[in-house]
Amino acid sequence: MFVGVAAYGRARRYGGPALAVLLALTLACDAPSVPESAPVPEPSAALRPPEARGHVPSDARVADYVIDARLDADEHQVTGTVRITWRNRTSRTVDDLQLHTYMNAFRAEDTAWMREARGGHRGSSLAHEDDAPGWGYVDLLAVRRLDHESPPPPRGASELSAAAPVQLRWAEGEDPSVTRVALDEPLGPNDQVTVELDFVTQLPRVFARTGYAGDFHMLGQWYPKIAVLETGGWRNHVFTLNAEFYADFGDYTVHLDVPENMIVGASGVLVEERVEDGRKRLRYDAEMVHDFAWVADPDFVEHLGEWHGIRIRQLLQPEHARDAPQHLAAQIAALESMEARFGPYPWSTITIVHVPKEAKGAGGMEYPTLYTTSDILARKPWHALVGFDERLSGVFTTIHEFGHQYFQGLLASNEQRQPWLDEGMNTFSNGLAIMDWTQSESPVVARLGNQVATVDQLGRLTMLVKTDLVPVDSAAEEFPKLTESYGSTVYRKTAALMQTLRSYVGHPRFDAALRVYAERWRFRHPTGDDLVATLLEQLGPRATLTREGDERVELDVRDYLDQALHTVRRVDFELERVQNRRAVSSAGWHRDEHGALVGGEPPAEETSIAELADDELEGVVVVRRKGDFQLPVELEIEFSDGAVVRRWWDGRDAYRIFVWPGRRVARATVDPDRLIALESYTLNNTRFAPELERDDGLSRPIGDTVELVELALLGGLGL
Amino acid sequence: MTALRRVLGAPGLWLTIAALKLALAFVLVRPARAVLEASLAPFTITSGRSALLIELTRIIARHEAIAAALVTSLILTAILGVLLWLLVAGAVITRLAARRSLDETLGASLRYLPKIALVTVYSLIPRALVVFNLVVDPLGMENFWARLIVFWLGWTWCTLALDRARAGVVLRGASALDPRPLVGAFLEVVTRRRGLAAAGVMLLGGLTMVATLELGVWYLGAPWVVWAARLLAIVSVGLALWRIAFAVEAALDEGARAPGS
Repeated sequence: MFVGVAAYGRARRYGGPALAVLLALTLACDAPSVPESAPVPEPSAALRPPEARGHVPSDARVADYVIDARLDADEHQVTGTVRITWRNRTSRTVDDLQLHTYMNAFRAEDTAWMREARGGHRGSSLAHEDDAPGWGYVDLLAVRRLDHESPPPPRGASELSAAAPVQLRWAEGEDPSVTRVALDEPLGPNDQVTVELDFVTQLPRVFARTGYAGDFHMLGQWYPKIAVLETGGWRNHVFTLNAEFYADFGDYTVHLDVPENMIVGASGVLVEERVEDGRKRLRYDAEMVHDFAWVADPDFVEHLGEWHGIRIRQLLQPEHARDAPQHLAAQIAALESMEARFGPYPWSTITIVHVPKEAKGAGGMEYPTLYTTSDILARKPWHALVGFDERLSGVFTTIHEFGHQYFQGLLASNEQRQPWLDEGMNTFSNGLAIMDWTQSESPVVARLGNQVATVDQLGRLTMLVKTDLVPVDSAAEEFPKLTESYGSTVYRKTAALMQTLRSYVGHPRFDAALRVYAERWRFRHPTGDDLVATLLEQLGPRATLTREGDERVELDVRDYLDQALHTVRRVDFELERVQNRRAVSSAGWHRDEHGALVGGEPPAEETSIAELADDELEGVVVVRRKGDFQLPVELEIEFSDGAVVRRWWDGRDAYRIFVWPGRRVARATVDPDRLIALESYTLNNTRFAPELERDDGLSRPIGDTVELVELALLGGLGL
Repeated sequence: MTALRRVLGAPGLWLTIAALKLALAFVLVRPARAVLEASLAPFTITSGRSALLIELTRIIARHEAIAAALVTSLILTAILGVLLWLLVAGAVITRLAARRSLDETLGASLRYLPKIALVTVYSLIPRALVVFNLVVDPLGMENFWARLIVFWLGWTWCTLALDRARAGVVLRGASALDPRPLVGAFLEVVTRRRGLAAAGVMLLGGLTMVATLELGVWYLGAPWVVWAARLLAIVSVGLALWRIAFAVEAALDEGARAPGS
């Protein structure tokens, strides 16, 4: 076990995660630029031993790849051959094979991807000052079918192209990111075919996930890749800005030929390495994955760690090498949480890549058993003066990108069709991972002086913008870049709707339901309907919210999920009125038992509410459903005598009036336990009765603070 | 007469300027606070003192005018602060030099205002260089603290030279158009012991500013914090007067040494 892990472990035992992070930070500051790590041997197999890896269904293996690729680091070009053995697991007969040629998205201004991106992605731009054009493409040179009557080809580059080939025709689709290969004969259910493709991939200057920057080469979506055949036909989407990937599981054997000085990281395990004539020849095996990515850079610094037999390898830029222990701590925390919640991590390796600053566009991206993270914000001396600290940069990216090993790595949903299933569910799981790590239900992730921000608070803030334009359950291309709604809706709103449901039905119940989903759909392609069906099956159609004896209020789980996933309805409750009013008295004329009018007392005198005794008035609270999302909500009412009661309202009508005869209401609060993470604007959730009105809680302290800054300015200018 | 004695001998001046400063800050924050109150009314925030910035961000996202009001308040304060010190500089120097009638003191404010403004404009050039060095770092001083110290020393030097030049204009009738007295003041404040003492006082003044801001950062929302800031503001006015009193003493000494005086 390496020194950082040991220190982290000790700190966790004695002082909890906060101390652990602090210690890791301190170690990182005091340590030499490359923290020590003990060697961790490369595992002998790409999958963990059977007792550790969990269930791996054999029928999930659909597409096996044998790739032989050579990197020309000067031209940033890969020349290669890929042999794909594909099994038709559907009941359809097909006469073609559909390929993803993702790299062609970066071929010209008018591809679907570039049209939407307009040359930029997450702040990085393709345009550059140097002379190189920077475009990327994958060019198919030949496609041939190998004799499928012969046994599957043995692995190894030397075996490539050994069988007698049949040349096949191919054609790009309307967008070059899709390619169709015509088969020479139809392929029926349960048949398999082996095709071999020669290709040249020109890497783009990195600005969106893949490409080169100087000597750094990130190879993601770099080879022709077969699409998924579903019962309804091929699912071969055009690659657009937000559309990520979708592929079948299979085994990969990849031979890489790179300059000798390159340090390489890749999906799977390294099983062979040879050096000759200034070149390095590597062989990687990856099992039951749906993609293979690799990275090469002569400047990488390696850092190793290990957790329950999983080799954790970091490839860092030298200037950020000291951050390795923090990333490792986050990685281990994420593994602990995800394994406990969603089942075993099946693979024996995980590689964390730290991209150079010129290749920021490649940062924060996930591939099977390999992901790129982001840098931890460098601490400046003045941060200590203002008490600034955060766990969002770097560390959060590590947790998020590792989370994708489950939410799309294992639960391989169609990221183009339903991006919320991976990005949103992963963001939700990240919140749980941080809770598990910090052992807090409201983990603090940023701090400034005495001010803190929790995951929940930041999530609600990000949901204030543009979450009401496109429903969560929408395809990637339905979130145009111009609306800027993709991140807040797909990532944040999905997480919030799951968090809200978890709070409503109870944490153990929800967590158990999600565990069933994760177990059931490992190594499969779950859809949104599959997730909803599992939740309904496990949670039941309704969840009772009220306590025994109260008016029964239930959450209709299907209706909730329908609204949250398929509409753009907003959750916003407001306290329309919190007041006390004179109770109805018996003054005036009434008939007695003989039918005669009796009484005739004059109306009560005008008296201020404050002067009335409690039995002369009634407390009134009016809650309004200001948003159009219909959702039960709890209300907390505090009376002037200090008593507190809670009531649920089904939230169906536009408003609800609550009346308490003989009781003086002091305060009312909607959703007092902050269960509704979907409600981003909560400033209208607490209100006092007018006669008891008090400081609004914000304008005084903020006003005081601004006045304080003004006084400092006036005194400090030295004028 | 020591510089400190001059300040303590003018409590009215001290309290008047402090009152002006407190009033300015108090008044200028009111509109922003009113906008915030109106935007929140009739609701109350109960999320606690540690979530004030989050709640402020939340309400600004819904009511962007609040951010505009807060920023306007700060900018106005900075501008009015500069104008206030320009306006009172003549009176401060006159009163610290000798006991004067209220009319004479107030009259000095207006009488010397154009000259003092002109000298101040000259002093903006070296101050701009000092700020430029802090922000752009043309000297390549990568260490933040070193850059901050250089900034502070440079700013202090500029301030003390300006004090000295202003005192020369008011008490010695030096020309404001001619930049040479200001250049001379730069030399004088680093060659005289009095300059070092004034720098020390200015450091104390800077520390009160830092202390005020630190209070705001670490105790945001505490009901007592604004009162602590007001107290520090009164102290910082006294320190500013003390600093200026050194320049007054230097100008008076120069007068005493001058031929025919």
